[in-house]
Amino acid sequence: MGFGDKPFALFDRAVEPALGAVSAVVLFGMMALTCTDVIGRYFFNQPIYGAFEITEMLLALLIFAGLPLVTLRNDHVTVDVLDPVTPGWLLRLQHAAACAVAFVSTGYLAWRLWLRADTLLGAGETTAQLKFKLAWLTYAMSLLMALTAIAFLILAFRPAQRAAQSDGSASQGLGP
Amino acid sequence: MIETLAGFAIFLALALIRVPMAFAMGIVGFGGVAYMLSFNAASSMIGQITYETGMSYTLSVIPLFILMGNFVVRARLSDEIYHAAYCFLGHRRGGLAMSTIVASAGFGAICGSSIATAATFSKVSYPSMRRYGYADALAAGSIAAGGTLGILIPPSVIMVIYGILTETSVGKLFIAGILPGIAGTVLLCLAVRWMVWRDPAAGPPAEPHPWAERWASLRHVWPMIGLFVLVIGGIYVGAFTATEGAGIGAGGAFLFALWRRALTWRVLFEILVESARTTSMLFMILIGALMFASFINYTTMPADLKDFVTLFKDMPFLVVVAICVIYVVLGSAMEELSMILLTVPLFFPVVTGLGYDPVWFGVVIVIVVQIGLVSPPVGMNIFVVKNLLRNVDIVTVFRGVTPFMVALIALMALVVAFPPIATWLPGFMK
Repeated sequence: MGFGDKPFALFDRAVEPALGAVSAVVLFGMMALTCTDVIGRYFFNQPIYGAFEITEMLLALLIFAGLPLVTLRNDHVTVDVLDPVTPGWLLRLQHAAACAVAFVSTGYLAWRLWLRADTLLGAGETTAQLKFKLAWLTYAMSLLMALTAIAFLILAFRPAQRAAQSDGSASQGLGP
Repeated sequence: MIETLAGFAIFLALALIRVPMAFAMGIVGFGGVAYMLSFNAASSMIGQITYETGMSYTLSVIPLFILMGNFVVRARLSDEIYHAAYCFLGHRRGGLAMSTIVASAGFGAICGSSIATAATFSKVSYPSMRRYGYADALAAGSIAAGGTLGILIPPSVIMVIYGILTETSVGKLFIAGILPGIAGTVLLCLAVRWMVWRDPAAGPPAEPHPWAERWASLRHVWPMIGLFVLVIGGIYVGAFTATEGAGIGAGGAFLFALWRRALTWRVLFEILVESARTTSMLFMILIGALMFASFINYTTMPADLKDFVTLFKDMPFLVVVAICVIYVVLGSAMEELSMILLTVPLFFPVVTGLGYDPVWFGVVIVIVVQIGLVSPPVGMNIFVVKNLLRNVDIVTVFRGVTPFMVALIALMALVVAFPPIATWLPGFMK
């Protein structure tokens, strides 16, 4: 293992399982919250206070925590019809270029979200019912987006893959 | 006009160097808005879109329905649904292929993904069709085509995405898919009949089941029928929103999977993370597409198209037919989700401007996607089936899927010619 490999290994061993755990808990929480809210409303006349807002915040967390995971597995939807006829050197070049473009885009988005969080913090914006400070959530979104940018950087150093054979297995099979 | 074409050209160039769709759309949208307005406007717009899409309550319907579908896939319910359909239809000529289609429709009623449905039935129904000596073309074709019913029969991921893109009620779209879904099931079964009429050896009948056994086979299916009725019925009568319905559906499917002992901690974790990943992937695309759509809205293209179309305002039907033809052609060459995301911002104002119902157009779009999924050479479902049935060659799948593609085109024609098939049921909703 060379000097440069260590941070990559860290990302795989620590960041990926951690984000997996976060997204699993958040999604299960979203499901449980919605069910409890509806059941509470119809059977006990007692909906959960702020359920609407909590769902929104959980959704944001879910999406942004999932992005580095999608990136590390190279699961973003890509046009790959030409892959079978693309020579290896060109594929490697495309892979590097695509990762670079995506790295810049996600990095820029992370920065924009950070600025937005600063604004929200300054204005003291909170959610309507629970008075949760939106700035904290937005900082989290920004950091997770930055992790996605790093994930693209890591991906760039990994060998380019040809079009994944879609066998309908777990990662591929459940899109639209 | 020119700037839109330039935008599409740059998008194409980015997509061809394998930049993920989401970023290709987002970058073109960003660059376009920066060019039309200013860099600062584009910057704040992309920040705004990312933030608001991430925190939109309506959109939480997506992860919950995906989760519901994943629970159902893992609960191995597909075997029972197929068995039930098989008990009723298996003794007919081509009956196993018709069972596949009917079972796919039933499965699609709780799973909103056509790829997942096709993948599931490649494993469930192909072995029995092979055992009874079905032609590979018929077997593969019926699985690939049956899978597409997953997105027409609610719940449907594509409908949610269309609903968000066009601000159309997701609940109404779901309900609108029910009758066309049934019509589609019938048409696909007719395609099977046609294939066995052409070649009776392609689908020999299996031995009939006594009626007692037929009714008994339904016993295992009713909990899922109950869940469908609860979720879609609840949305229909307005007892809960689409998001709440999705939550209830996911919760119900979770309990169902528990009851079937399909869950270990490990499997549960996998299902959750898988669903989360699919959600993130879809959202990234959605954010890119929304940025792209804002750019399109600043160009003169939608207005130009509308002006152009007013020339035909006495024959709106012709415009719709033209759009359908464009979609069928595009769909055979393009990935369907990106096709929808790129074109709906252009076509939606045109079609609604002609006085057509947005819900109806949503159903047409879904059928167009179905056709694209089974049209050679790059239909997604064809490849899913091909990769799971390793001994079947691709030309056989192409051949097998063609009659079903014709049936789906007939379905599209039916819905275009008789809009009430889609709009009648949702008409009763508030």
